[in-house]
Amino acid sequence: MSARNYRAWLDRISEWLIRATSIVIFLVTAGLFLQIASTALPLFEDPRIAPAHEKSAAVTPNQRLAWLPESQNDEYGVVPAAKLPLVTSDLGITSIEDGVAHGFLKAPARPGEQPGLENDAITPFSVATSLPSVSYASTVANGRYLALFNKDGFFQLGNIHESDSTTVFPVVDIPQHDAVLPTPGKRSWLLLAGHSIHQVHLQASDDGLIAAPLLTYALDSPASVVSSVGLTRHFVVFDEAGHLSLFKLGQAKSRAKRRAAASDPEIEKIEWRGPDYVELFHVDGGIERYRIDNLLNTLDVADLFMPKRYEGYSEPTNTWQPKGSADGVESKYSLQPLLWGTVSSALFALILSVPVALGAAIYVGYFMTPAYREVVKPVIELLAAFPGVVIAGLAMLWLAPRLQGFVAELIGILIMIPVTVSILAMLLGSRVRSRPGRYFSRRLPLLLIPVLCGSVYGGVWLGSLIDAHLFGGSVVDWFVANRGVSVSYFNGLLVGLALSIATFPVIFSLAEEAIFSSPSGAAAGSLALGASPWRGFVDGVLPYASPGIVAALMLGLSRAIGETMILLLLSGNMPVQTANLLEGVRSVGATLAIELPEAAVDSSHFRVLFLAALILFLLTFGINTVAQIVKRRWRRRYGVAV
Amino acid sequence: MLRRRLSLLVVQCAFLLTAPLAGAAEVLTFVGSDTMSRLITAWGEEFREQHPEIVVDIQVTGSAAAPPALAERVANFGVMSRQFGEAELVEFMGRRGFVPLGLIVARDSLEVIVNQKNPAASLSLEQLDRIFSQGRLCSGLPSLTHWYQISHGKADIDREHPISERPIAAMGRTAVSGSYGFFKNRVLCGGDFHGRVAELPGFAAIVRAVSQDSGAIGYVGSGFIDSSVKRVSIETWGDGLGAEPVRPSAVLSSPLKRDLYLYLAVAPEQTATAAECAFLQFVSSIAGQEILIQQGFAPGDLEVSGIIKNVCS
Amino acid sequence: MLWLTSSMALLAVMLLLALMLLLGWLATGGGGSAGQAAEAGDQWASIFFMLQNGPAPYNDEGIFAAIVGTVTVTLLMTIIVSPLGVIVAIYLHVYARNTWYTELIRIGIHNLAGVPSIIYGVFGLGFFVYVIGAQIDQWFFSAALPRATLGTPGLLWAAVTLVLLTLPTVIVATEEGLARLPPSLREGSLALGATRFEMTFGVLVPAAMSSMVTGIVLAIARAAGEVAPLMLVGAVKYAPALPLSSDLPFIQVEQKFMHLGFLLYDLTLHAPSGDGRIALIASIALVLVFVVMSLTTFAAVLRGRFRMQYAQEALF
Repeated sequence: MSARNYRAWLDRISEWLIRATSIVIFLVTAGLFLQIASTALPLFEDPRIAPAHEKSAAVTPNQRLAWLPESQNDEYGVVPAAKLPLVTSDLGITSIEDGVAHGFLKAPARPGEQPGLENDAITPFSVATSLPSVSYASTVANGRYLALFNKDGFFQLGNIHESDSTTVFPVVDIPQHDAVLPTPGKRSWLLLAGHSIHQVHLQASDDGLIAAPLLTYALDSPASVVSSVGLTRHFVVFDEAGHLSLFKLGQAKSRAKRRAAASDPEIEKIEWRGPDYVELFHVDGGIERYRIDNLLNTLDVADLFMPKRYEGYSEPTNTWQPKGSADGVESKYSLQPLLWGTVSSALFALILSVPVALGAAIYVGYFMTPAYREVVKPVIELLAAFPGVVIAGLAMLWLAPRLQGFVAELIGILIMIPVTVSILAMLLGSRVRSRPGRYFSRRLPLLLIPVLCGSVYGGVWLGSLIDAHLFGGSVVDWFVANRGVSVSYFNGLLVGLALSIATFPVIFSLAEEAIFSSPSGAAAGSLALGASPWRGFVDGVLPYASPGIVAALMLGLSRAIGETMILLLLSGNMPVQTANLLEGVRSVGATLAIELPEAAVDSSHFRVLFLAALILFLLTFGINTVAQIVKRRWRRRYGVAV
Repeated sequence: MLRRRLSLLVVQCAFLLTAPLAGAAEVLTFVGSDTMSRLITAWGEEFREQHPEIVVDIQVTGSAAAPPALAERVANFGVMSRQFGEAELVEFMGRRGFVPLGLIVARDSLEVIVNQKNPAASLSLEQLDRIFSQGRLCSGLPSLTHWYQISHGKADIDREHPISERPIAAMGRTAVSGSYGFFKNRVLCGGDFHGRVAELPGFAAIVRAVSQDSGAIGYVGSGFIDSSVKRVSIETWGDGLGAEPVRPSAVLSSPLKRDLYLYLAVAPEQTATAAECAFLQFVSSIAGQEILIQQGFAPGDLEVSGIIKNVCS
Repeated sequence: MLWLTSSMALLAVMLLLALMLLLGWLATGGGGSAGQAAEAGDQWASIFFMLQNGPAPYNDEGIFAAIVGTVTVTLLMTIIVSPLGVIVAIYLHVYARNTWYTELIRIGIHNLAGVPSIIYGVFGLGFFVYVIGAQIDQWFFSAALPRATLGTPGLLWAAVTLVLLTLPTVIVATEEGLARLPPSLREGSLALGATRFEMTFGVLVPAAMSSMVTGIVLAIARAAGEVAPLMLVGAVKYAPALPLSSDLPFIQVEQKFMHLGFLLYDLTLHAPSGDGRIALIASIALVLVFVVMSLTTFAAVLRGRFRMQYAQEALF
C-alpha cells in the first residue's frame, strides 16, 4: 500500500472506530437515563378495574395479604403455611352502666403460635365513659387507650390502665355514622354515614388524643356497599348507580371506576381476595370478580410535591418518611424536602468554594510565571485527593463538635481575610505593580503567608470578641435562647464547609486550564497600552476563558449535587425545609444511599427514589443546557472554535 | 541500568503481591442489623481461633437488608433486631419456597442515651414520645423541645443549668434499621418521627454525636453504650395492662427489651452447611455465651441448642 | 485583585496543609486520651510497617488487601476511561456536526456528572452484572455455571461503573481543551494535507494534552474515593484473596475486592468511638489520601512532561 493510501485507510478506520465507540458510549448513557425513567415513570399509571374470570381459590404466597380484623370481618385468603405468624385481636363491650363501660380484650396470640381462642388470654376491663352507648371500640396507642365511638356522632377516649380508668376524657364531635371501618395501623377510621364516607384520625391536641376529621371521600352517587380497607390501604365502594369505585386512604377522589354487572340492590358485600382482587357477592349467591391493575406502587403527583395532611398530623406538611418494614403505616413521599436539601447544600457549597477556587485559578493561571505554575498547580490539585469519605470523616470527628461554638469566629475570619488583604493591597499596590514577574510569583505569596495567618488569627480574635461582648458567650446560644432558633449538631453549615472542600479542586483545575491556555494577545495588548494587570485579565483573558470557567462551574455544581458520602454522614438526614443553616438537611443522594439498597425492587418506595434521581437529572439538564448556550454564544463572539 | 533495576524491583513486588491469604477457605456472610454487629464481630474473632479456615464477614446496614440478602443467597445468616415482617415472609417464600428459620440468639434492650453533662437520669415513655414523635399518638401531649421542659421526679432540669436552654436534639437510626421500626412501634405507637430527628446510619454515629452535643438524646442498642455517654433509665406509663414497676433498666426488665434474631435459609427437611453449624454450635457453647454477656447482651432462647441439633444433624 | 487572588491560592495551599496535618494528628492519637495515643501509635506502626493481610481491621490487622484493591480498581478504571473519554470528546469536537442533537448528547453527557453516585451502582448491578455479565457467562464460561464468573459483582464491573461515573469529567476537560485551541491549528494542518486522523492525533491531541490529563487526574481522584457505587458492585469488607495472581491474566477481574474507602465508610459508622478507633480511621484515611495523591501526582508529572509547543506566551 502506498503511503497515501495507507494514510487514507488509517483515516477511514480511525473515523469508523471513533464513531462506533462514541455511539456505544452514548447508548450506554441513554441506557442509564432510560433505566431511571422507566423505573420512575410507572409510578404515575392509574389503576384500572377489570373483570376477572378465574376463581380466586389458588392465591399464591406472593399474593397473600394478612388481614388484621377489628370487627366482624374475618381474615380472607388462603394461608399457605401454618407457620406464618398471624396476629389477631378482638375486643368487645359488654355493658355500660353508671358511666363505666365493661368489656373484654382478647390479647394477641404470641407470634409463632397457632392463633385460636384457646391460646388467647381474655382480659376484662372497665373504662370510664360518659357516652350513653358505644357502637364501636378499638384499642389505640399500643393498648393504652380505648377509642369509643357513638353512632350519633361522638367520640371519647378511655383509659384502659387500671390506675387511670376513672379519668374521663372530653367528648369530641364526629360526623354521624352508621358503621365504622378500621384502617390498617388503627390510627384512623372510616365512618360510613349512609351516603358518604368520612375519615377521622387520631390526633394529639390540648385535651389529649382526639378523633379529628381528616377528609371526606368524594362519591358521585351515594355509597351502597363498602369493602373493608386492605393492607394496601385501598377500599372499594359500590354505589347506587351501579359503579365500582376504588379509593385510596388519603386521596379524596377515586382512583378507578367501573360499571359493575349487577345493579344496586343485588350486591350484598364486597371482599378482598388478595391485594388486588375483589369479589362482589350477590344476594342470590352469585359472585362477580374483578382484578385491579396497577393498584400497588402508583402515586399521585400531588402526593409527591404538595403538602398533604397525613394520618396523625394536625396540618398539611411536606414530609419524607417511608414506612420501611412497618405494616399498615402510611408512607410519606414528599420530594420537596429532598430536592430543597440537595439544591440548597450544593449552592451553599458553591458560594463558599467558587470565590476561592476562581481566585486561585486566576492567580495560578494568569499572574504566576509558568515555571512556578508547574509546581504550584499540582500542589493545589492535591486537594482533589481527599475523597468524600475522608472529608466527611474528618469533619465528623474534628469539625462537628467544635462548629457550633465557632460560628462567630468563622464569620470573623471571613471578614478579616479580604479586609486585611485589601488594605495591604492599597498600601503596597503600586509598588508591586511596577515590578511583576518573580515578584508576583515568589515574593508576593511569601509576603502574604504571615499576613494570612495573622488575619485568620485576627478573625478568630474578632469573633471571640463579638461572642463575648455582644452575645454573652456564644452567638449560637444567644440566638437559641432569645430568638427561638433551633440548631442541630448536624447542620447545613457543616455540610457546606465539607462540600466546598470537595468542589474546590474541580472548579480550580478546570478554570485554571481555561485561564492559562487562553490566547494572550489581547491581554498583552492592553498591558502594552498601559492597563493594570487586572484590567489586562478582565479585558484580554476573561472573554476567552469564560466558556471554560462556566464549564468548571457546571462540573463543580454537578459534583456538589451528586455527592453522597458527605451528605450522608454530616447532614443528619433531616427532611426539613428551612433557610436556617444551623439545622440539618436531607439530600437526594444520601437518601438514595440509605434507602435504595433496602427498598423492594419496583415497589413504590423504589420508584419514588428513582423519580427523585430523575428530577435531579432533569434539573441539571436544564442548568447545563443554559450553560451550554451561554458558552456557545461567548465562543462565537470571541472567534475561538466552537 | 537504572531502568533495569527498577523493572526488576517492580517484578519482585508483583510476586510479593501474589501471596494469598493464610489458608482462608470459606466466608460466612452476615447481613443485616447494626445492633448485633459488634457481638457477631466478637464471636467471629473467637470463632476464627477455633476454625481458622472460616472467616466471618459482616455487612451491616439495617435489619431490612437481611430478608432480601437471605432470599438471594447472598448471605448465610440474616441478622435482625426484629422478626421478619409479613411482607418479607411472603417475599421470601415466593423466592425460596420455604419459611426461614429464626433463632433468638440474644436479647438486648434499646437504651436511651444523653450527653454526660445532662442531669436527666430517667425519662418516661411518655416523655420519649413527646420528644421524638411528630404526632404524639402515644401520649397525646404537646411536644417537648427544650431541656427545661423535662421535669420528672428527682431529675428536674432547672433553669439555672446550662443545659436547660438547649434545644433537645434527637438522634435516631435510618428507616432501614430494625431498631428504628422497634422504637417507632413501641415508643411512638406507630406514629412518625418528627422532621428534626436526625437519621444516622449507625449506632456508633449516634453515640459519637450524643457524646459531643450537650443537648442530644438518642437511642442505641445496649451493647453500644460506652463511657462517653450516659444512659437514662426508662420508666413505663404507670400501672396497667402489661406495665412493669419502675426499676433501673436491666436488659430483661426494660420496657424496650427485644429479641435478636439470626435467620437461616434452611428448608424444613434440610440441614445447614458445616460452617454454619460450626458457628451455631460455637454460639451456644460456653465461650460464645460468655462473649455475649461481655458485650452487654442477655442470653437468647436456650432452646437454640435444640433447634441446632435438628438443623445440624 | 492580584493580592486577593494570590491570597486565595495561598488559602488553598494552607487548607491542604491543614487537612494533612489534621489527619496526621488524629492518626497519631490526637483528640484522645494518653492511653489512646499510645495504642494509636502501635496501630500506626502495624499498618505502615507490617502491612500484613488479615480480615477486617476490627482486630487491627493490616489493610494491605484494601490498598491493593483500591489501586487495582483505580488503575483499571483509568486504563478504560482515558481512551474512551478522549475518543468521545474528539468525536464531539472533530467529527460530529453541530446540530441540535449533537448538543443534546453533549449536554446529556455533561449531565451524568450530577447524578448521585449510588445510581451508577444500581445501574452497574442491574445492567453490567446481571445482563452483560450473565450473557458473557453463558457465552464463555458456561462450564462453570450456575456459579457465576462474570455474572456477579467483581473488580471488572466495579471499574466499569467507575468509568461511567468519571466519564463526564474526562470528556468535559478534554473538550474544553480542544475548544480552546486556535482554529488556525486545525485549518493549517488540513491545509497542509493532513488527514483528519493526522490532524486530530498529531496536532490537536498533543496541544490539548494538558487539559486531557487534568481531566484524567480529576477522574482518578474522584473514582478512588467513591464508595457508594462500589458497595453494590464488588467491594466487600473481607475478600478471601487478592485480585492479583501470578498466572495469566495476572489480574482476576471477576473477584471481589477490598477497598480503602469502603473500609473507611464502614469503620466510621459501625466502629465504636473510643479506644483508639479514631486513630485507626484517621490512619486508614491517611493511607487512602496518600494512595490517591501518588496516583494523581504520577499523572500530573506526565502532564508536565508534555511540553505545550503551542502554549501562549507568558505575560509575567
